[in-house]
Amino acid sequence: MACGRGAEIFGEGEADDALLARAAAGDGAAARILALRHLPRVLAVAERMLGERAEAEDIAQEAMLRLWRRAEDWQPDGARLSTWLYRVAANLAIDRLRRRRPGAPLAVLEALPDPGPGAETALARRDRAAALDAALLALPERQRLAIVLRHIEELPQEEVASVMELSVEAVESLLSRGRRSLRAMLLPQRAALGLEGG
Amino acid sequence: MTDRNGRGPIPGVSGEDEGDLAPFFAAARASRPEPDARLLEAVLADAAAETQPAPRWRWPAAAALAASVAAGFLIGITGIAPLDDGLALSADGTFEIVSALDSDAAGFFDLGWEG
Repeated sequence: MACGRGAEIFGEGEADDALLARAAAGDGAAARILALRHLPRVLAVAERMLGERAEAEDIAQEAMLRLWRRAEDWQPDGARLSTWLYRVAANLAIDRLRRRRPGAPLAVLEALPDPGPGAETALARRDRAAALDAALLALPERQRLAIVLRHIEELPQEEVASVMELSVEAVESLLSRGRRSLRAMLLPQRAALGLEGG
Repeated sequence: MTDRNGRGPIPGVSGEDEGDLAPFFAAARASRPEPDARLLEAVLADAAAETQPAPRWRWPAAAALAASVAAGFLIGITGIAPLDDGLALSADGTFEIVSALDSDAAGFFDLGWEG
């Protein structure tokens, strides 16, 4: 059973830092609000980076665990809590990717949707998302992370740079190369996925 | 490209990119994986375990503990358990009237009167 997208707005209005201070003092309700607010996005980033649900859940839980452990001594240092969480999750995901690197590209190719005749009627949004996910997995990990954070999670470019601990210019370079690669992979599938102009 | 909250174009995304990739990004946002209840409960269990407030030191408990330690120390040295002012229960089960100044412990700590 999913927690529900409506959970994202639960607790809206109370700042993350204040909620974390309450959570550090043992306030379970504050911890719940923080989890409902951030867990979905952390999980989404991890899953799109890894292309695998179970590993993504492990990483999302680990990222939240590290947050709870830092709760009492939390020092924002100018970074938003969400930025910090994205950074932890991204680093954990990249660590996993590097451990399992052999064989990964083959799995990506197998995951690409079949653009055969039967697919011409498959116009569902889910198929487009699946095609994008498969193409993302074929990108170098840093390009993938930049694309996920910027274009799917819609973080401002400055926050993407903060998460990835890069300059804004370096992020823009990653985004540009990533989009170019995505276009090369996805344009041939546009017609099959119900998009005009393929 | 305009973001889903209508905050305007995203810098660095050209019109060409918008036409080509925007439907894919929109589809991905619409199909964002949601955590299930099992994962949420696991995260909350972690939170409960990691953010337990430290036990508060309470003065009554502290005083009782100190008194117990002091009594145990005195009994260990003298073999006599003081019950009240000047009254004690000795090891053979009899009550004695004692004076702190007469006890071995008093001698040990040199509590005798001078002069």
